[in-house]
Amino acid sequence: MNARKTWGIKAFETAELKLDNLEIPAENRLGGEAGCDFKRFAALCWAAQTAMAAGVGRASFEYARGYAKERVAFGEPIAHRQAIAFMLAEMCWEVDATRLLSWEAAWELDVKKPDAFKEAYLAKLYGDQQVVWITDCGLQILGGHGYIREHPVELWLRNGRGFAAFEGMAIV
Amino acid sequence: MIEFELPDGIKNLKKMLNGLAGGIMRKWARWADDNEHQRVDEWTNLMWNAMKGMGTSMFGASGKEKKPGEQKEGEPKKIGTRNIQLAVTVEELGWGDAGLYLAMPSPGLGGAAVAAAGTPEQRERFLKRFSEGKPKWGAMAITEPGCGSDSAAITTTAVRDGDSWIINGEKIFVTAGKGAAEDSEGLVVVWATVDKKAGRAGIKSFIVDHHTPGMKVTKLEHKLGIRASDTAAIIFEDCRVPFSNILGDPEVKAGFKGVMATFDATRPMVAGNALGIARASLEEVQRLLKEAGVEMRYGVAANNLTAREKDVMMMEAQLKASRLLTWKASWMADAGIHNNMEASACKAKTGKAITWITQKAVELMGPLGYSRKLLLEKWMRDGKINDIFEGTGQINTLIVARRILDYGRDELK
Repeated sequence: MNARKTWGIKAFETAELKLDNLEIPAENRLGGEAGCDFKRFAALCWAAQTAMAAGVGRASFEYARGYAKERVAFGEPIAHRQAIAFMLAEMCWEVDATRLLSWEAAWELDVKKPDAFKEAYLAKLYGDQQVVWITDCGLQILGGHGYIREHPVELWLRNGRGFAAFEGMAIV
Repeated sequence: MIEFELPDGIKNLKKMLNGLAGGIMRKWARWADDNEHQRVDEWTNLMWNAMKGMGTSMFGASGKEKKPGEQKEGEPKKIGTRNIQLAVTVEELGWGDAGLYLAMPSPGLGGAAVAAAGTPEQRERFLKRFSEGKPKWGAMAITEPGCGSDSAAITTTAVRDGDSWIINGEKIFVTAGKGAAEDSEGLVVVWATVDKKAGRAGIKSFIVDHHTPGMKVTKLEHKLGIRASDTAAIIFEDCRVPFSNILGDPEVKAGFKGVMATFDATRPMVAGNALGIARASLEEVQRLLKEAGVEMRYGVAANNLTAREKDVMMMEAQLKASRLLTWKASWMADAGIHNNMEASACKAKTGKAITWITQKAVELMGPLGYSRKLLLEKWMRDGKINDIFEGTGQINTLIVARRILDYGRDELK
């Protein structure tokens, strides 16, 4: 087993696991005789990951908003400029949209709607894309100060980029 | 507990409207696009009779229901369903045909303004007509040749003269303007200034009855899409209306905020209508792909998706994201929660999303999508208006930005 170095989410160890004729008792099978509903399991993960993506995006949005109101350029806060303010506005509603998609998927899973699997999948596709865009905007608003490690926005961009790569395997 | 289920009543209404939209609206959609400004009588009469039967409460304008602020003190706060029902309704009608939807006889934005900002007496006097007699239209006249989004720059004047107001000025881009002013016993809500020096505080809105002397439709615009809908230019020349036709408080103070508040109710409805057009495009693409034997593989790792699957799935996800923001803003209105930011956010988001979704649908179908054989190219043309009217995407983004930054117009222009 080797721990792997990753670009983001470093607190969460990612390792390579080799299984070489490993014997385990039959009763260790997940879900017993019936096995587990892997599709439902995957959908639950997607809903949760979408919620996490909303959280990472929100962190970056809130931080960038605070910075933009304080950082002065050409005599006034950079948030006075539409180029910055419009980015923040869109970041804000995309955080909201990502959150609502995750909540709806989670609710569909709770009440066992037939479409829950598909909804959770679409939510994750959306969240994956948005979290990268939002955290990239967060970094951009801080400019050079966002690129250096004194501010957390570069960390959130690295963490946010991970979502699209989680669960790389085809499950259907 | 958070819930995303529509009440049974709204689900049934949605189903009924979908049948209507799929039948009669789709039947006339191309004809109405080719024959700009011509009314489809079958559609007009059918909708008018249906609305009268159901009561215009379907369009939030029966004048009878209490507004959140009018609930008695101590009465438990109820969450209504009026706005969410309306959002679902306009989505189905947009799915059928956005042009015919805009052209249908209804209280329209003028009626919505009376419902939202009118006194109980005004609501009774001006909204009752939409549930009786012959088909009628309501319209809202804000834009002028010299101002659009900057509605505080309005130059149309209303001068008090005894028991009347005398209105002078020119309005353009009035949706259903001809229907409201000349073709029916409808009404036009006109924005005008009562005191130019007072700036935005002097802007008030006035209800002008159909055929009032001095109100004249001078032109109908030719447009990219929504051609079934008449977009009128109207001139007001010494147009006299009763003093009691002023909407809301006649005093010159915080009036502008009052008229702007109308948008908090109407913007989610524009977004709702856009959702219908976007859904129509998406469903058409899905249908054609299915016919061609292409299956969407939901659940496949993103790196294994085809470019086409990725496009179609992202169209679907964008549509859902837009709908959730729209329903949230509508639900907030039903719960009596201030939704200024959410109303603008859902409108800006959906305007952008529908532009992308409907263009993508044309692109994915190639030459067939670009041709007039299908309705995809029409939906692309119809869809674009939703990124423009009732506040452009940029104006709505500006409103959201000011809200989240807690800025006024001096800090963020």
